[in-house]
Formats: sequence, structure tokens, C-alpha cells
Amino acid sequence: MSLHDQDDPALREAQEARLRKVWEPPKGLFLRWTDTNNNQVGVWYVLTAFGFMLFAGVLALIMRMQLAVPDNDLVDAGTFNQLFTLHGSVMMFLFAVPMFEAVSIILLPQLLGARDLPFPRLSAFGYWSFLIGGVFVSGSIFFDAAPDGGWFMYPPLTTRTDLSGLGADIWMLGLSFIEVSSVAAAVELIVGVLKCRPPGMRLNLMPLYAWYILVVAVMILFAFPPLIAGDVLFEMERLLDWPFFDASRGGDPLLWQHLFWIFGHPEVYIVFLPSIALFAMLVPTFARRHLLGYPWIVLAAVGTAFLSFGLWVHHMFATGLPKISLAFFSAASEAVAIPTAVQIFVFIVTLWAGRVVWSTPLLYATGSLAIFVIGGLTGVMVAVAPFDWQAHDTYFVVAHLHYVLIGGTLMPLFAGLYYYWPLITGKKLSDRLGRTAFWLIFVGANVCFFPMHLSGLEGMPRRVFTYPKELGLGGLNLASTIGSFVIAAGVAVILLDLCRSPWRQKAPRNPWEAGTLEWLAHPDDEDWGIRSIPLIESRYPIWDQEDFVRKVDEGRYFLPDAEEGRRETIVTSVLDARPVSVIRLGGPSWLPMLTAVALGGVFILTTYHFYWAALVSGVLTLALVLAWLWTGTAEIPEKPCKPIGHGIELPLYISGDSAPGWWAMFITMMADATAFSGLVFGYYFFWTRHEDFPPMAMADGPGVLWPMVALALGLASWLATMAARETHARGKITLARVLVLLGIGASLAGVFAGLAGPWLSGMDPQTHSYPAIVWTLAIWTTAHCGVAAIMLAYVLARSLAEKMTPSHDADIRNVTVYMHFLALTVTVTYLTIGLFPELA
Amino acid sequence: MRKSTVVCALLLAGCNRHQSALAPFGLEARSTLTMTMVLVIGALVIALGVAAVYVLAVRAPEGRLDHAGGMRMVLWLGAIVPSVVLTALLVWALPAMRPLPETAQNLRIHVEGEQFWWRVRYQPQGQPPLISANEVRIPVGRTVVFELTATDVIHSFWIPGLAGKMDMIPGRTNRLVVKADKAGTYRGVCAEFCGLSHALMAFDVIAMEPASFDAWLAVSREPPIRTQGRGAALFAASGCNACHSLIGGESIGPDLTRFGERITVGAGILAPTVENTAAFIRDPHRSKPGARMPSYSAMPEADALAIARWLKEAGR
Repeated sequence: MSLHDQDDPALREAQEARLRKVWEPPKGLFLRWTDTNNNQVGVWYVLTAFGFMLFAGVLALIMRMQLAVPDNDLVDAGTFNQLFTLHGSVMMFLFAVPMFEAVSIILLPQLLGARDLPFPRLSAFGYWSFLIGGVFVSGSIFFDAAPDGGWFMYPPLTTRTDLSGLGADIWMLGLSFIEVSSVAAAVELIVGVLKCRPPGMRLNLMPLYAWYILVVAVMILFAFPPLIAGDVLFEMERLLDWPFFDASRGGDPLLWQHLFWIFGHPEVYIVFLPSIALFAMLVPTFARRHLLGYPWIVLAAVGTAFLSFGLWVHHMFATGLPKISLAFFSAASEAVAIPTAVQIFVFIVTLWAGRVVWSTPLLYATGSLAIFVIGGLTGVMVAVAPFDWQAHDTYFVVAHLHYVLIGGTLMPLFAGLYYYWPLITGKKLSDRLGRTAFWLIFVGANVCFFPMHLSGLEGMPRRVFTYPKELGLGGLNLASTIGSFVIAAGVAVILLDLCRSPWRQKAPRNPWEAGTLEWLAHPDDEDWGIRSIPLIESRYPIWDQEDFVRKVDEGRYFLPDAEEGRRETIVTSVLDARPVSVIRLGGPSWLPMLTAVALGGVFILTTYHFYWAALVSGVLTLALVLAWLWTGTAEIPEKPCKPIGHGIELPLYISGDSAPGWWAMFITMMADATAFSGLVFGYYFFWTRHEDFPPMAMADGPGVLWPMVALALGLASWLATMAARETHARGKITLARVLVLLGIGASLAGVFAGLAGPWLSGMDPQTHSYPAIVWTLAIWTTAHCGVAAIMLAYVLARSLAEKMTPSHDADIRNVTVYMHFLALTVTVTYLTIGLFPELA
Repeated sequence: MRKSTVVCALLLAGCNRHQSALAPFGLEARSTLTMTMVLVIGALVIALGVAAVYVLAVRAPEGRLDHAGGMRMVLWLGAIVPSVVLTALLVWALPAMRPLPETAQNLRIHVEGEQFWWRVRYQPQGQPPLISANEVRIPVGRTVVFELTATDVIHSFWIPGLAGKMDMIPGRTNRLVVKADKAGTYRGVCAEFCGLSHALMAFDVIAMEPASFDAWLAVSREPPIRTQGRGAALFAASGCNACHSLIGGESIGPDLTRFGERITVGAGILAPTVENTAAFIRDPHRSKPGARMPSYSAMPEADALAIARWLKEAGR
């Protein structure tokens, strides 16, 4: 195919018809929900997250009504505690993070000129998990069973089953489920950014939104797993009475606080940076010029991410830490203001240098910047430890965090809503209603939250369902309540605007005259994403590249056709975006939804202690995952290569480290290793807390022998897998199969050997934190050995079914990545539990 | 600058003098308030400065700022100035992280948080300890060391007028060193969410002149003289003494030895009237949901009033 062919309108129409057919969404009342196209799933995702935001907002209004006057009794203490716990948890876990993922699932393929993200079914799975988990957690309030321990869930209040009920389990298990889906989305977004860029889009030409997504997704990868590790310990204590946080049996409540805030503080930046990313897209559009200081803003984003992992302790300034850690974390907390200031000034100088076109999105951006700056400055104040000792856990902090989150998350999202609505629906929102809503929200936010600085310093602690009249806080609180309703009015105006949108006229294409790829989207959008995948030479191709839009539309770039009737997109190399291959994407399927339902069953049934049913659900999940992998991945194509235009031929099958699947496995295992390190941190944290750890009475721990046997078996299965991969690649299939079989045997034996240590030494995990953490490490590691056995068995089956051959060996290459991490896990675990007691 | 003076005036004009970081009666809170003022003024100046730059940026005609100029501005305003200001702030604030100096002679007060009240033990040097509850008395002008812990869940000990807060964590003992400089009656609260009645967990703080504090400590050692009337009999018959000590010993619930002296009932939440006390006995969960004390709803009101009157007699 040459350029010349694309001159033929008949050919173009035929191509379009084929593309349309391939990307056609499934129709029908039920079937439509099996769709996996990012355009559909992304919209469901956004609407669901928006719904949760409204729900959490209503909870906040009820709280503000209760606090409007002193000694009020509109709601009782029990209800109020559920309200503020759910408000915080829903806003964080069911709105801010999923909303970022949802928006990214819609925008990222458009920004990257890809037809879809590399794993559309994973996105769909993430969405259904989010929906099920979210409804489960937030619905609990209607049964008076919502979590009531605060969104931070500090033990022992929440781990003691006599002090907290089912709500704690609902929080822990329901949100763990959502955390899993968040990590899944992070994997999808990272691989999307790294591997699915259009040809020519080197890292330094990438739209800033994609940079931010990359940074934030990597942060999710390292921030969520410590919380998942904490969740594991937490539920072990609640369900099995293993005393990780019980001081009377060698536990320590502060361990939870560390694990929670190692997650919790990066979380703040996880929800803030994507909003800044929206600024980075819309500010150049309305300044009518390139963003000034592209490298600055990328470095600032990376710097913020890096620093955000070094300041969790500022949430714990009042826990009586050594002064040296106070000084360190105080300094780190202040330092994070610097990259933030850089980002803000990059936007300001861009506006300064450009020609500012005033618009509703820019109005929201301006307002949010004003609010955010105030929140940032109070943030510097609370970073100063002595001031924090007064402000901590008071309404001052409530004011601070709402200024940050309204200015840094909510209002930028509204800016993004007004900016990108035409992209999604083809219609503009009303400027008049948008401005009205803006002023209501802006004024309301200040009336609501500014007085809280004062009520906090005047002695009003957080999380109080009432306060006595004598404190004289009635006036400030009434102002806050009025402000909260003004904000609600503003949100209602936006809702009205959204509801009226279907009756409005179509907007022209690219209504803001922006320069970035996503604005190629046509008002009468087709589901194929982009007509042909362009060659990128600029950060603002629509502005800079000659005839760009026409060339894309006429299919003059790459992959303008779908001859084989498959959904496809181009995979490029990580750094310089050279085309590497064409991958076939998963189409509509029931599997993502069913897998989410089954996995949700595991978490939800465990909450109600239906352990056998949960086990059945778990086996079902495994079966569905295997079916999903078997039918949907590493498919051997009908021909080795296909042309994508301009005389370029790309392979249809790749394996190893240039394949998206390999990257997905690698990234998932990074998250897994991070969760594991959270558990290992627990072991050594207890060691630092106790004079004698292991305690004298159990000084031998699990002994040395069995841990060393388990270590040898784990390493043997790893070596066998690597040997199998190499011999298989050399065509010695039978030998490779035998080696895989050996690997399965070693992994299974490793399960028994790993558990034999603590079991034969009679370690009772309910007696002390030491046996409890040893058992936890052993179970974590042996579970991984068990999974290794399943994976290797899958590889063997693929080989026997001839779905894996020496030239098509993605399965064993991906499993080898898992085995590398398994080797790391067994080494750390068994050296720790087996040999450390000898040293300590 | 006019705006900032208005805000400062607002800050100072807090109408609550009992439980406010803006109305200090101790050295720590006083120096923190000074720090607060500096931080607030600094924040206002910066916020207004950024706003001014933003307005200039939006109004400037296209091309007024070239690439090099823009990059210089990002470097200076975004990186260098914040780095200098923050470093100065850190260096200035570091000394304030140091606790007040203390010696072994200082009065130690051990406070334990429990759902939802405070167990208090005065441990003066060389004297036997004195046990109390829900009220903390400290001498003005002397260094006092609070030893803080908790038995059930995490609480946080906060007397806003005296010093910043310090968490009370099961299995750990944290120390808070304070020095009051103004006598008076104040209020402290629990600042860490601790369960159903977290909002109702407060205590009275009485800063006394050193001489009257010493006198109070000496008098309080003597068990109060009590009449042996109907209240006493009911107190024993109803099993109240299973949890409440009347002679300053260890007990499960709050010590009631000098109950008559207390200026609030139920850990800082009710006026110290006989009626409130009686109502609390018959239904503690009405004014304090989730409290450990069982309800005595079957007890006739007259009996509850008798017990309350008898308790209040003591310690006056």
C-alpha cells in the first residue's frame, strides 16, 4: 500500500467500513456491558466515580447540618462517625483515584494516537471491580453497618472486635478489592504510556498529561501495596486474632500508621498530579502557545513523586517520635513545596508569554490555583512540627486538606470537564451556567473552609459529632455549613448543565483550537479511536505539522485498515517510539465482568465469614483468569507480519521485553514485591520495638533447616524455569517440558517446606507478634510458590496444546519474570525467618 | 497589608479563652502562637504575591515575556526563592522542636486515656502518688512532665492553651513537658478519634499558683470525711464501689475520691450539678454513648439523687 492508494475515496470508505465493523460496540440490553473499548468503559468509569463523589458530598452536607449549631442532635454519634469515615474513604478511594484512572482510560489512547490501551479487558475488569467494591462499601451505610473508624482506620480501635463491628471488615476487604483494581489500572496505564505511543513520539515529545499519568501510575504501584500489606495484617488480626497491633502481645499500633501513611501521603499527590496534568493540557491551549519549560515540569512531577514517599511521618508528628525524625520529615515536607511551586510558575509564565484567551475552563483553572496556593501554604505551616502539634487533628487540618483537594483535585476536574466535554460528547457546555457554578463553588469553598482554620486553632478537634456551646465556635461552624451548601448549589448547577447537554447543538471539531492529538476526535465520533496512527514530530502536532488533521483523516499514516477484522494498535519502543509490532486487542467479552464478580465474591464473602463460599469463589476466579489467559493472550497469529503502510511491515507476535505482556508482568510484580516489602518491614519494625525479638521463649523460631530447604526448593524452581525457557528457545521442546515439570514439583514441595518450619516448631500465631509475622511471611511466600506451580502448569499445558512454540514463547518468558520475583521473595523470607533469629 | 491586619485581629479575637491555641497560658503554646503569627503573615504575603503575578501574567500582551525570561522566572520564583524561604523557615523552627528542659525533681503527672475518660496520677518527687480522674491541676511557673499512655485505644492529650498535643498509645509512654504561666481554669480534649464518644472526652485543667497547688496536694492526700447516710449505703449496695474508688486507690472506672471538687461531670461534658450526676448514674449512655459504665435505669431517681448528693459532699 502506498500513499497513492489513499487518494482513492472508494478505498478509504472500504477501510472505514472495515474499521467500523471491527470496533462496533456490542448491542443489546445485556451484551452492551461486555464491551471493553476504552471509549465505553472510560465513560462508565467516569460516571460511576462522579456518582460516588455526589454521594460522598451528600454525606458531607449531613455532617455540616449536624455541626451547624453547638450541641445539635440531628444525627447521633454512631451515624456521624460512619458519615465522616465514609466521606473520606469514598472521596479518596472511590472518587479521586478512580476518577483519575477513568479520565485517563478515556483520554490516554486519544493523546497517544492509539486505538485503545494495550489491555482493554483489564480496564473493563478494573471498572467492574471498582463498581462492585464501591457499591459494597458505600451501600453499607444504608444498613447502619458502614465503617466508623475514620478513613485512616487506626488500630486498636478498629482491630478490636469488641470495639468495632462489621464496618471495619467492610472497609478493609471492600477497599482492598478496589486497591487491586487500582493497581490493575496502573499497570494498564504505564504499559499504555510506555508501549503504545505513536511512531516518532519520543519520550520528550510526549504530551504532559501522559507524563503525569506515567508518574502517578508508578506512584500507585509503590504506594498502594504497603496499604495492601497493612490490610493483610489488619484482617489477620481481626479474623484470626493474630496480634500485630495489640501492644499486650508484642504488637504495636504504630506499625499500621507507618504502613497506612506510606500509602496515605503519596496518595495526596496521586490525586493532585493528574489534575495538574489537566492544567498542563489546557493552559497551552488558552495561552495559544507551547508550554514553557517542558523539562522543568517533567522533572518537577518526578521530583514531587519522589519526595512524596519521604514525608509520610508528618502525619505522625504527635506520636512521640524521636526529634531527629521530626526534623528530617519536617524538612522533607517543606521541600515538596519546591517542585509544586515550579509547576505553578510554569503555568503562570506560559500565560504571561502567550495570548490569553479567556474561557470557562481557564476560569476554573484560575480559581483552583488560587485555592490550591492557600492550601499549599497552610501545608507548609503544618510541615513545621511545633505548629503541627497544635494544628494536627483539628479543623485547621480539615481546612488545609480541603483547600488542597478542592483546589488541587475537584476544581481542576471541573476545568477538565468543561474543557473535554466537547471531546467526549461533541457538544460544548454552557459558559453562562459554567461561570455561575464556578462562582458558587469558589465562594462556597472559601466560606466553608476558611473559618475552619480558626475553629481548629480555637480548639475544635476533628471527627467530633458535636461541640459545646461554651467554646464559642457556633458562629464559625454556621459559616462553614452555609458555605458547604453554596458549594452544593454550584455542583447542582453543573449537573443541570450536564443534563441539558444532549439537547444542545454539536460543537465544531477541536472547538478550543488546541494543538494536541486528542483533539483529532470528531464530533460524530467513531469507536475506532483514530483513523490512522500518525507519525509525530512535535509536541503540538495539530499546530505544527503541516496538513496533519487531513492526513490522519484520510488514513495517510499508519494502520489505516483492519483487513483481518481484528482490533489492533501499534506497539512502539519505550524510549524513541520506533514501531515494534502490531498487537491484537481483546474485544468484547463476558470474562472481565465475571472475573470481577468472582473476585468480589472472595472479598465480600470473607467479610461475612463465609469462608467456604469465599474459597469456592476464589477457585472460580482462578478458573476464569485461566480461561481469560488461555483464550485471550499470546495468540499465535495467522501470519507472521502485516504491513502498516509506508512500506513498513511489523510482526504480529512478540515476546520478551519488547512485548506489552512482559511489561505488564514486570510492573505487576514490582507492586507485588512492594507489598511483600511492607510485610518484611513489619518483621524488622517489631525487632526494633522489642529488646528481645524473637522473644526468649521462642528464640529458635521456625528453626534453620526447613526454611533453608524451602529456600533451596524455591530457587530450584526458578532455575528450572530459566533452563526451560532457554532449552525451549533452542527447540528442545521435550527437555523444556521436563524442566517445567521439575519446576512445578519444586514449587509444590516449596509450599510444604515453607510451612513446615513454623508448623513443626509449634509456633502459635495468636500468642505474640513474632510467630504471627513469621507465619504471615511464610504464608505469603508459599502462596507465591503455589501460584508459580499453577503458572508453570499453564505453560506446560500451552506447550502441549501447541499454543506455545519456540518462536511463539511469550507464556514462558512472562512466567520467567514472575519466577525472578519469586526467587527474590523466597530468598528474603527464608533468610529472614530462618537465619535472622541466629543473628538477633 | 491591610487585609493581613484584619485577619490577625480576627485570629486574636477568638471568643473562647478556655480551649484555644490562640489564648495561651503556657510557654509552649505561647511560642507556638508567635510562630503561628509569623507563618500566617508569611503565607498571606506569598499568596497575595502569587495572585499579583498571576494577574500580571494574564494581562500581559502576547510576547511580552520571551522563553529565556520565562525560564528565569520559573528558576527564581519557582525554585530559588522557595528554597531560600523554606530553608530559613526550617532553621528558624528547628529549635522549637526541642522540648523544655526538665530535671528529675519536676512534678510528673501520669495520664492514661480510656474510652472516654482520663486516669490521672500525680507523682511528686519523694512523695506517694495521688490518684484522680478527668481533671489535671498544675502549678504555674514550674515545669511539669506529663507521662501519657492509653489502655484501650489511641487517644491524644491536648490542652490547646498550654502546649501542642501528644498521642496516648497503648504499649508506649510519651512525654510532654510543659510550663504554665497564667493561673486559671481551662479545658483539654482528646484529639485522636477514639470511638463513639470521642467528641465527649474532655477534661478540666486548673493552673494554680505554686503555693495553693502545694497546699491542695497536701490536703488531697487525706481521705475526705464522709457521712454514713443513705447515699453511702446505696453506693455500696448498687455495687458502684466495684469500679469507683473513694479512697484514692486504683480502680476500674474514674476515681471519685474528691468528686465534690470537680468542676464538670462525665469527663468535661456536664455541669457539676446533683441532677446531672444522678441522670448520668441512671443513664450514662444518654450523655455519653459507648461509655463503659452500665446503665442503672432501674434505680429510682430519688436513690440516684441521694448518691449524687453524697458524692458531692466529699472533697469540698
